[in-house]
Amino acid sequence: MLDLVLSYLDLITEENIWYVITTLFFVLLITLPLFGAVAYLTLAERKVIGWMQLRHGPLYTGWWGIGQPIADAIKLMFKEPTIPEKSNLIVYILAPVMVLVPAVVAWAVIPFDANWVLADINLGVVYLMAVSSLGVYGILMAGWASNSKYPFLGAVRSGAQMVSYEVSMGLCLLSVILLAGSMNLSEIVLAQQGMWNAVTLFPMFIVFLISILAETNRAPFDLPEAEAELVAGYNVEYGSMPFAMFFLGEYANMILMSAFASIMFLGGWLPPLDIWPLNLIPGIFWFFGKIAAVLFFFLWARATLPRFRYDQLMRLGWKVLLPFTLLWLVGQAFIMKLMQVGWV
Amino acid sequence: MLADLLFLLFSSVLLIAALGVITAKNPMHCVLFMILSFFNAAGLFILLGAEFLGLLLVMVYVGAIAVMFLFIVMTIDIDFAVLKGKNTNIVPMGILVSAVLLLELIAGAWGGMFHTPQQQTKPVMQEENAQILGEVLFTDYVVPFQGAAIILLIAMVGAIVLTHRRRSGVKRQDITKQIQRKKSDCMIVTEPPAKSGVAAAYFVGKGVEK
Amino acid sequence: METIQLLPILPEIFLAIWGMLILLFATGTSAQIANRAMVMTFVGLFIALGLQWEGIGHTDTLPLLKVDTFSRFVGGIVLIGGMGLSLIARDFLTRHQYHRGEFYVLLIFCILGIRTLIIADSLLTLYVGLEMMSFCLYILAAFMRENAKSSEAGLKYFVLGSLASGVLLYGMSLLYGLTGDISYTGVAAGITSLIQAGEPLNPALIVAFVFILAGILFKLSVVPFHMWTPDVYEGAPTPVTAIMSTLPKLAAVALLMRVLLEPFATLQNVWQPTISLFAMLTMVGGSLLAIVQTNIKRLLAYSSIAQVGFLLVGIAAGTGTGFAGALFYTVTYIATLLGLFAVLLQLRKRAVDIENIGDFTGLGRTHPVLAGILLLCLFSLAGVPPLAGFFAKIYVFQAAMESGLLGLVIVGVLSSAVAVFYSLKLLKTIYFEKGEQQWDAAQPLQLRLVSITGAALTLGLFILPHPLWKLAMQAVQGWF
Repeated sequence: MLDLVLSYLDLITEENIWYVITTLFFVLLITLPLFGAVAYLTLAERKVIGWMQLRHGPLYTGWWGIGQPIADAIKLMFKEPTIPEKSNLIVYILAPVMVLVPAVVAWAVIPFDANWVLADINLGVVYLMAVSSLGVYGILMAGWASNSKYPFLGAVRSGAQMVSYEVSMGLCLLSVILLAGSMNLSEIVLAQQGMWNAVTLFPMFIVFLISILAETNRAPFDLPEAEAELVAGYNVEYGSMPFAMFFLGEYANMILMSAFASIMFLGGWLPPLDIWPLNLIPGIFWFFGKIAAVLFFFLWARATLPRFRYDQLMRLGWKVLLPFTLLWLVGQAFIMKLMQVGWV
Repeated sequence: MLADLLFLLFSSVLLIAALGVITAKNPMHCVLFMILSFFNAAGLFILLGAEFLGLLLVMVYVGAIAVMFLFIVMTIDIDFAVLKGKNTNIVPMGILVSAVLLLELIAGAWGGMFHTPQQQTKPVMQEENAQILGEVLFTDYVVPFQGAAIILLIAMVGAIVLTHRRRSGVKRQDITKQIQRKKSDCMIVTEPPAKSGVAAAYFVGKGVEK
Repeated sequence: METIQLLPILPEIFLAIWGMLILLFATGTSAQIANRAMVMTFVGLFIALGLQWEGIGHTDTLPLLKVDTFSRFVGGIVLIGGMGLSLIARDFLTRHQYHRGEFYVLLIFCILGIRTLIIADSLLTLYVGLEMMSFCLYILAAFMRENAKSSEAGLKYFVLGSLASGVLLYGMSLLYGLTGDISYTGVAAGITSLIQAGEPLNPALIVAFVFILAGILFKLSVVPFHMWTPDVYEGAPTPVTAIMSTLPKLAAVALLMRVLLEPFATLQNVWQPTISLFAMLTMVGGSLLAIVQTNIKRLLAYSSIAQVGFLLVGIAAGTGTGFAGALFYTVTYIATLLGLFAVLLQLRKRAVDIENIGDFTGLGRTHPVLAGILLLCLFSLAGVPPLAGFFAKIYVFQAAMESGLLGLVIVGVLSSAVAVFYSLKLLKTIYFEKGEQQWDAAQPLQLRLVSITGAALTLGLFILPHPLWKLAMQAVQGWF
């Protein structure tokens, strides 16, 4: 037994240690800016929605409201975390973690530029799908463990909604995979060199945008937290840092989905056209620009659209998007086969 | 080396989680333990080089099926302590059956049931897992594959046949009807004479009695 | 893939597509649409029967499948039986307001599952076919969802059936672990090498064999795996009971033959005594328990258990004549039961279905034809000449005698005597006991048609057993 344990000490070599340290460095390089982005996404949200509604948004914390996210974060940190007496302690505490972790872990496979990716695995799309489908657990656990009506209702709504829209989202991704012939995210980006998928698969792009709105529980599909009927849904009973973690998770998920959409449909780090002034700009800026554009769409939708009713949401998911994406996928495969044979 | 260590980690957590599924008092905890065990099984798959299967396990079982489980357990109110108290009279029978099965398994293990024959330990293909799987699935195994699809269809038909019913007396949204409704169908502006009250005002519209 | 490879499995492909077409065009709540589904099912099964002819002479087919004379014979019987079953359900279901197109969709898919099961040449296809069949039956058993008994039957069948499937699957996984193959030939080769290498017999192999056998025998409702049968048969809607007691039985018998003779061929000295023991238990258990039943569906359930015991005698014989006898037995059994159920579905007093045996009084006077067919079929099941059941029993007992299973034959004959006893008891109630006689008249044509066909077959197979016997012999020729 001791020999066995000692034999594992051989794993500690200089090479391995460096490997671990560099990986950790890259992980931090991704996550820390991500949290920063989350913080300023909240500010952007308030500003954008403010302007759309002819308001100013935050103004007084720092110049142009720039210190507002930091002030919010500090406020949340210094609040007292409360735990409801009848809650299920372990699940209650675990829930926010389960929301945040998948949203962060998923970034491992996102390519920021050519060869700028932490883990370049062949099944990037499947990995992203798998990880993003885990977020629902945090919400369900939170709703159940709070042992309270509104969180419970919010959680049930959220679970049904996320599972429903995952189906059409998966079918959208399949059509992209079919076109690119690969599940590696970098290769999918490279396959869009001539033409973005958003153009060739325009209807699927729209369906994908709708689905990611529902997947992240954002307006107009923000029924899980519908403040007018459920107060705030699954996170009513949470305060302080656990609440902040839900918040972080939700916004990190938004950024993740935007990045996902950029990669799958908007050509990732590639410039729109491979011509002189455009290809001088480094790929990573294009990528961030595209993420920002999709995020703007999120905010735009929230500012403009009224909330869906629950049955309307389900009908849209199952009776409109699902049949449509299925038909599209079959048709696309059919046409691609015909092209392969040379009939078209 | 590292793989051994990871195997140890995944398999031991898997076993502990599986034990948790059957021993946990709260059904919700059972399901959560089950999800944990799915995770570790996925880890084992990935260790074996079957990444696609591993990720699929997470996506399908954890991402969809277990969510449904969680849903059901959340929405029904079962008290396991009560259930356990009721069924003490079948415990001896249960022990007997389990003991017989255990003996059979021990006998089987004696005969090398859990030893993998040499021909099976082929190296799992590292490259393009999904592609190889797809090629096999649509050529050699096309009949069971399509058969499984039909089974799912049957399950769907069954779910609809056994649960779906059109209840009467429920207000349903009819979108076309809603859209086709015009202002003149449901609204009329009147000028009731003063001091005559509501009686003089009248309201007509589709489906609304005067 | 060449088209020629698809020829032998044309009926299966057609059935799958046809079932989906019915699902598309003939499901819904209106009665007219359900009638359309019924007609489509009947026609579809007939076309599938025709398509089966197309494939004769071609044996080369898709991987994991094997189409031979045996599968054609059994598959053909399944299609013909299915045609009969598709006709008898309408009246009953309409009366209970459950006549829906989905019933027929499930029937078609059930038949598809059975056919897949029969042409399977690997454990994987076998399992898929078995589940396809069972899923349809679980749903059909609970088809009358607002009826507590029907729901109970469905749930019971589902839980126990899933358990049996699980046991079967576990046995298969063990077998795969031991032999490293899932195709029948591969498994057989693996078992042969295991036996040559090992000294007495590998216990792991026995465990795998026992698990697989238990899974199949559950579907056959052999004693001691029969507990579910009476409850499910009683609770399920009567047309569904008719389905459950005919087609899946044939499927399970065919499957048992295939599995015993293909993967487990080298274990014959193990399975022969095992099957003999089960046959004995089943004959005795089924016959004795049938005596005390007061519900006709429960009686038929126990009777069907006993019948399975008799045909297991043929399989236990382990010879060509034994297997052909068991096949012959199953076919006569299906014809008889179809007639019997078609009669049962016509028996009503003041628009209420009669299931209690005590209420059968006076049937002989008001409905002599129905009473006659009912007794004819019951006596055929008991094996009384001049009826088909007599020859069926003769064939299996003869084969057993040739293999030296004298004890089994004696038990069989005694059990048949018990079966004659309860048939006589019913005869007494029908013809001689006085009681309420308000039997409803006016029976639908299709039910009369099926019941008369069943009775005609029961008689005809006694007069002319040889064509069928020849076919059955041809079917098993590949093995012996």
